[in-house]
Amino acid sequence: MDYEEQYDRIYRYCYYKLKQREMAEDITQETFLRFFGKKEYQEGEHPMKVMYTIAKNLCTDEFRKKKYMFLEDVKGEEVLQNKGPEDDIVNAGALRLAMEKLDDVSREVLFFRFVNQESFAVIGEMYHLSRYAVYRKYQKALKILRRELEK
Amino acid sequence: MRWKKKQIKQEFIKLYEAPEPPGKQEFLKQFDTCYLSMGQFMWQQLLYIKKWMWLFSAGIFFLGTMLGRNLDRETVWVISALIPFLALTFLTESGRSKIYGMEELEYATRFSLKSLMLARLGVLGLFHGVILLLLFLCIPQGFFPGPKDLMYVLVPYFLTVSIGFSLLRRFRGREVLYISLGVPAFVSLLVAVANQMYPLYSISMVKFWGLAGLFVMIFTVKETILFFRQTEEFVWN
Repeated sequence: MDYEEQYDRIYRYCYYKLKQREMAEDITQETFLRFFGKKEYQEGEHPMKVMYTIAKNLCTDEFRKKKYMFLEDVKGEEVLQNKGPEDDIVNAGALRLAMEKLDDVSREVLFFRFVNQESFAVIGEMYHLSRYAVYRKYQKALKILRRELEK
Repeated sequence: MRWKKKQIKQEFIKLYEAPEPPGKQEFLKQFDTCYLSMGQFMWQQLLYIKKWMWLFSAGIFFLGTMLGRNLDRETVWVISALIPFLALTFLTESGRSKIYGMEELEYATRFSLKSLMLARLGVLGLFHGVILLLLFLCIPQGFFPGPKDLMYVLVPYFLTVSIGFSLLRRFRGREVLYISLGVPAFVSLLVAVANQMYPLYSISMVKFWGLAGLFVMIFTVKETILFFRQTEEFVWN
């Protein structure tokens, strides 16, 4: 995987967490600098896992620092995102509501699988779960999501 | 409405689609020189293998095919005696860092000595594999009746490599060069002398070649592991 692909994945993850473009990009860049600042980080078996962990911690720090500002920005971004055909907006709304029925880990598992196309092994490393446990969690989340969407 | 997995995935991607990051290219410029794919790395290392090694290996191949034209059971040992010189280039490349006393410095470089050696020897080994196979196929049509006679070319080659690795682990400096040159000459001489003493290439010696092949393969694997283990960075470094 080249740096551009890694950058995109981390950026998408940060954007998923923060819903704010500038902040997501700042944190992506900070993640890269921290990752390449330490040789041990790069020599691990799953470098993406390390990068996600750094990004997640940085996002959490940002959340703690600027909680209220984010709530406002999330609204703004949502409005911007909901452009397009009516069906798309309805589907997006339904999916968003269905996602609320999932716990945080299941939501992230689905995000990593669908959006960032990470392997179960990498996702498992992040949550200290086996590949099979992640796979089961993924299947269960999908089942809940489908049930909620079909209601 | 029935939601399929593909549809959920598509909606999911749409929902979490991130806008284009404006500063990506600018930021990634600073990492431009760091990234190297496996293919690029192998190609780069291939260019570091000296030209004379390729030419020498090709020369051995042509000499082998020339000599092979008029071979019979009595003179086939000539090919076996020639093969160790093909391994000469392999040993010289293996000991290159040691010849110039650079191995300790190379343990700590960005691409460690181990990865460099694996890449270069892998490429060279593959090239030699093709040469050995072609040599086996080119030598008088139908002279080698079956794969068992492949041992005539494989045993001398791997015997040279294994003895060479075993000695290279123990020496450094100019001695490495002498070992790289001396071991092929020794194995070649050994084949010639052994052929004078025993009927090595007769049909009755098939079992001997089979056992020799097995022994040499095991010895080579063991020595290769030990050799590469020595190219790893020291624990205290």
